[in-house]
Amino acid sequence: MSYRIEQTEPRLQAELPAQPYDKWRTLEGEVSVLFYRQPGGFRLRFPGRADFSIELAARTVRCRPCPDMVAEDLADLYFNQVLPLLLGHGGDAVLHASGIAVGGKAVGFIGPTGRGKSTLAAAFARAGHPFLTDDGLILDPAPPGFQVRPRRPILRLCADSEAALVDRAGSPSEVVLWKERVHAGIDLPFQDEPVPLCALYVLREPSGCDAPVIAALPPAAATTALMSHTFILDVEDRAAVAALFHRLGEVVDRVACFVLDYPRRYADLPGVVDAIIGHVHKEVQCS
Amino acid sequence: MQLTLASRLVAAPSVVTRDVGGDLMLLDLDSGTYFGLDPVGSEIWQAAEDDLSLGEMCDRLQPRYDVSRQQLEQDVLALAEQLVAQRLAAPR
Repeated sequence: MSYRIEQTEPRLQAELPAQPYDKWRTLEGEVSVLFYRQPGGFRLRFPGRADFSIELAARTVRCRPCPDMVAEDLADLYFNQVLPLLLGHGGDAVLHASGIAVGGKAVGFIGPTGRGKSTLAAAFARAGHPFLTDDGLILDPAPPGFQVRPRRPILRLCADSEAALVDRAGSPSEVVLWKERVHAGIDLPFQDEPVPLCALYVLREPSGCDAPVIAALPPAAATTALMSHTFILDVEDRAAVAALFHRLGEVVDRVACFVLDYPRRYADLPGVVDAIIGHVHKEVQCS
Repeated sequence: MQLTLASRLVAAPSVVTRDVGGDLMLLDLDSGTYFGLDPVGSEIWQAAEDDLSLGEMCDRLQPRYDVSRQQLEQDVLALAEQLVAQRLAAPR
């Protein structure tokens, strides 16, 4: 799947005549993306940031940034939001998840923005377990299971996560709108080849626990969790949603799924990493 | 419509199903909601797809479950009513 990207002159976002058919919100309740239909495709509006018009037949994405947007932030929006939606529309299963590799097997951490996906990926990388992606985890069928496709060698971390986890000398970082963009480096290794997926952990809302809590996720709950954390461009495309439902059912049949809670203190992250690795080795059979 | 043991159910056209780990997952494309049926519920759904009445479902299930006929009929009727209430199935 390939799309041509065109960027037009920056402009303030004018009100659109149509109503969005879908919208995403952050954990704080702010609208992060609005989905509109337009002739021949869709328009994705990131309020205050940019519009992306998708022309399906021409396989073109036309980006119109807001005046203050810088190129790197646009690239983040494209690679972390728009492209996963396009890949999902093309039939790929793409999860709101980060991915890391442990002993040649992939582990995914699923959750909404702000739940800790990227921080966990950085903590694993910091401990020597390379990351595959900080979001938009792509699952490719690889009989008998699935494998994770590497994406960008970049982690986007909240400033406090970046300060706690990144050695600035080892991995260059840049301040972006509300996260810091950290490039893979000696201290944050990147896994640049696909690896088989052996486990998915759904990050639950933090309970204030003092130690990692991991529980098996029953198949029905796992399927529901995966469906609700998937990049779907057109939620009203019933055939596509049904196909995704079946695809994610296959994932749940073949990949161990758990729910994970852990202490949200940076000092505890090395212990959290060890606990998850121990859990993977003890409880997960990687085919 | 009051369900009886003579009632038959038909799955709503908006529902797609998938067996996941022994449970049957139902996705209602109209509402975007998901439902999980345990193995017994899955058998009842399958029986509905086989066009059995609720009473005939009980006949099919009875030999394999250690439960009184009265309890089985109550359970089957209760699940059928839930499926209808959730618009996952309709009586015909």
